[in-house]
Amino acid sequence: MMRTVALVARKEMKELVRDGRFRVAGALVLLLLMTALAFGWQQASTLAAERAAAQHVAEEDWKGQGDKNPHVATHYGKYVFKPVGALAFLDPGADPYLGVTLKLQAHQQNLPQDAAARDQASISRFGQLSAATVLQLFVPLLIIALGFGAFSGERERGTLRQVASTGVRPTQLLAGKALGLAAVLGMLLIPAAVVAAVVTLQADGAHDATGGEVGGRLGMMALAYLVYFGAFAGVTFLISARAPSSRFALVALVGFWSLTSLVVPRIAGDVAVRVVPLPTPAEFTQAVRASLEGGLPGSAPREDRVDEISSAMLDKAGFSGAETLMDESALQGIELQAEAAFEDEVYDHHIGQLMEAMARQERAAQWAALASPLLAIRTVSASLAGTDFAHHRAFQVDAERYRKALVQAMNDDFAQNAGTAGWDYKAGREVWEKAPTFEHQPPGLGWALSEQALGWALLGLWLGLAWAAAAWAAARVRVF
Amino acid sequence: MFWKVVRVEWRNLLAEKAVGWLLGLLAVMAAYAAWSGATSVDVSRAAAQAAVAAEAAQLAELKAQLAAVEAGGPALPYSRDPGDPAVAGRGLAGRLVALPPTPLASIAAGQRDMLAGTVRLTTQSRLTATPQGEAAMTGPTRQMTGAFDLAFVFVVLLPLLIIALTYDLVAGERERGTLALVLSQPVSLATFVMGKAFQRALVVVGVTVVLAAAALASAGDGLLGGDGLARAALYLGALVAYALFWFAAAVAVNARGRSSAGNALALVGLWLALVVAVPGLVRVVVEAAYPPPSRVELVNLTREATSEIEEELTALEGTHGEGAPAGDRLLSVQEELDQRIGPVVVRFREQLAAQQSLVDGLRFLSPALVLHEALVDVAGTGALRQARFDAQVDVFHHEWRAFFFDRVRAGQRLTSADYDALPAFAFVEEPVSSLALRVGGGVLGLVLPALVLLAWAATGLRRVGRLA
Repeated sequence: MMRTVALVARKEMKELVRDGRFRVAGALVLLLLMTALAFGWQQASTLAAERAAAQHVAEEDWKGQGDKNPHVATHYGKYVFKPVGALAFLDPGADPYLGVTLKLQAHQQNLPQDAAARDQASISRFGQLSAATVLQLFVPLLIIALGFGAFSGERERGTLRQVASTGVRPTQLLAGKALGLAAVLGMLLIPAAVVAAVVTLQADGAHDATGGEVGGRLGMMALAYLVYFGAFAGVTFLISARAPSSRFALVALVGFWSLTSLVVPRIAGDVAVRVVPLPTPAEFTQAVRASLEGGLPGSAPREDRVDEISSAMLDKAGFSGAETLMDESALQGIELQAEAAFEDEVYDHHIGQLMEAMARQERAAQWAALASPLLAIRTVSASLAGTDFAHHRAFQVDAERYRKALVQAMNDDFAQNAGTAGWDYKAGREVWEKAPTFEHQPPGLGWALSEQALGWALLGLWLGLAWAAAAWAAARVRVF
Repeated sequence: MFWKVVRVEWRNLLAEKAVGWLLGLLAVMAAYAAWSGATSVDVSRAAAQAAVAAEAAQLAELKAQLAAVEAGGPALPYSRDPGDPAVAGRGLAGRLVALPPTPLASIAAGQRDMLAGTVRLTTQSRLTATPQGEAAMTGPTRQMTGAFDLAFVFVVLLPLLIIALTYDLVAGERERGTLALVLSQPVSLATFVMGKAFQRALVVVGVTVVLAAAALASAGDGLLGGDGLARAALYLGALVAYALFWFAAAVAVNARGRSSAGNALALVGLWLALVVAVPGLVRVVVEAAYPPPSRVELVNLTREATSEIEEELTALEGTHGEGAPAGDRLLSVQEELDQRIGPVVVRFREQLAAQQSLVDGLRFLSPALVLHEALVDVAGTGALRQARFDAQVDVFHHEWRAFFFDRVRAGQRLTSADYDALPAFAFVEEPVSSLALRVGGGVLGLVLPALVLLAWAATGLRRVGRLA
């Protein structure tokens, strides 16, 4: 039985390898993949170096800002830059459209700025040539080209009857053909995967804290693409078995590919924007300003809320009712912190809402993966590469947590050390150096997997359904 | 004979249900794309108008405050004094300048969701300000995928439809066994194939032009004024030339006399190469040749340049106190900042312009690129028109600054009458002739290869080849 399958697989492989057209197509895809890998690697390393250098400059800048009041220092602020993940070169995902520089300062939560896509010519709208796009768009078409005649072609040549007469069961035939296809694709993709893996892991040796994680992410990525290709192969065999002719099978498959890979993702994005509308930047800024001036909608106005917070702080410090006994700068410090807490409430509310809406928009589009395997692999792949919105949001949350800690540390220093000097109190380099530093820890593999559970589930669903249907169709294939 | 073939084919085509379905699908998608494009232009336009109106209201408010002071009312604190040209110029009084959408803006989203078509100008350096677009914010995945606009439907999907209608012009007849029958009539293979292709081209181009023109209906009056009609003509011309190219490619592939599945594979391969692979590679070349300077470095550079100034300013802001920085100090600081940041920002623009001119040359490698660039150009949603806007805003910014700086230097206060005399901005559109020249070059870049393909096909069609 296994021998039969192996025999069929060997025959399929030979046939495909000997076909000159597929050799050319395969070589072109491989060339494209290698180009994309090389270009992606070069781009990602440039970006990574730029940002690491910039982060260093920003840290030095903070430390060397000179003597000033610690609260004034928080006005001066500090820039942080989003680090580039080790796998971004494989799949830049949404990264070019996401901000990378974030100014952390008192009284204000900023959104990351300077998305790379701003500085690109309109040609960028054709999409980026990355290893991920080659794998997501080109390889499925290669699978279709290799497999559309698997059953229909044999029927037209009359060989399907002969094969059936030898007693091969249809599922064995299907398994054999699938193995043959897998072997041919493997000859093409495994070398590329090995190159990518070696390059990634080698480079990562420099900062091996994430070594195991990167290896794990790379492995899961390989698995995800395997599932994706498997789903496409299943659909190809299904249609080849059911189609009245090879010509029909090919047209139907290309139609399926173009609808699911080109049309559905764009329509899904467009509909998601309508289902979950986001404000314009001006509307957002306006809403934040309104809340800063008048308090959050449905809550107390600014002054009352600030008083509330500061008396709660005094309570906690045990000074309630004894304000007159405290020295002035300590009171100043408390007041500053109460104001900061109020501002944090406002920004947390609005930015949180915005991020939540964006995440809802992303999720709404993801459900369209029910009608498009490409959407499923795209979200999963970007998530594993750490270049999706969820990872971006994690960076933002991390940076915000750091901002609060930094502002708090500075205000605490003001409250504790200013004494009677008040606003004239100045801190120096040692205080800046003692301040917490920012090091973004990207979320782990487990988090990425659970975050993209929907994508994985839909990817698995496509694989399962496609193969169930292919097996069903192969069992009923007309032999003449 | 040619026309007889066309007539016969017409009847054949009418009998085929699949053709109706395909054209219907195209119509539905084009209609959706047109509607979607029009609504998003409306959102941006409304947002821009609201912002401009708000800015005007703000200026009117400042003028009223100042008039009240002039009439003997209490003076306003320094930081909110609309009469102080340094303070007012630095932030209180700004001018919102807007790049109006062209009448054809809805056909191609271009970089609309990326770039800012409205800019608030103050006397502060505009080089370091972060532009905020007026389009509704969108999640990054949607931006990465791109909009479902007419440009997408025509550039990407239309060729697939043409391929579906033409991959079996000859092979289909051969496989059905009717080719021998047809060629027993007094008709050459070349006439037969060209007639069939012509008839299909007529149908597809007709439907496409009707759809494309219908999509412009949303532009309404705007289309009739200014250069609207010229733009519309360029848009339709480029579209027809693009369709012609794909028909020529189909005839050429048919002339090679393969099986219909072989033809379909070859055409889809060609489509994949020209619509996806070549543009992707061109982009790689363009970005490798002219990499944009690092924004991240710009941030630090700006910071370094401004740190002295910022320290001075944050020292004032940070103490939450009042106190007037000297007006002319502010002013010289702003000019100095421009001098230091200016060259870097210029480099951004130069690199982008260099990228664009390389694209202008390399676009001829792919008809899809030619059409896409033409549509974005005609719609006015690309980097080219934005660069023009930026340049004009620069000039205006000088004028705007001078208005305030001259008064600071002269030690004059602003009066409420000055608020009526603030400089105003109006975008000057590129003359339509130079737009026509660029798009016309693109059309040539579509028609010429199409003619070459047809000539090459004609030599192949002289031989009849296998009949069955």
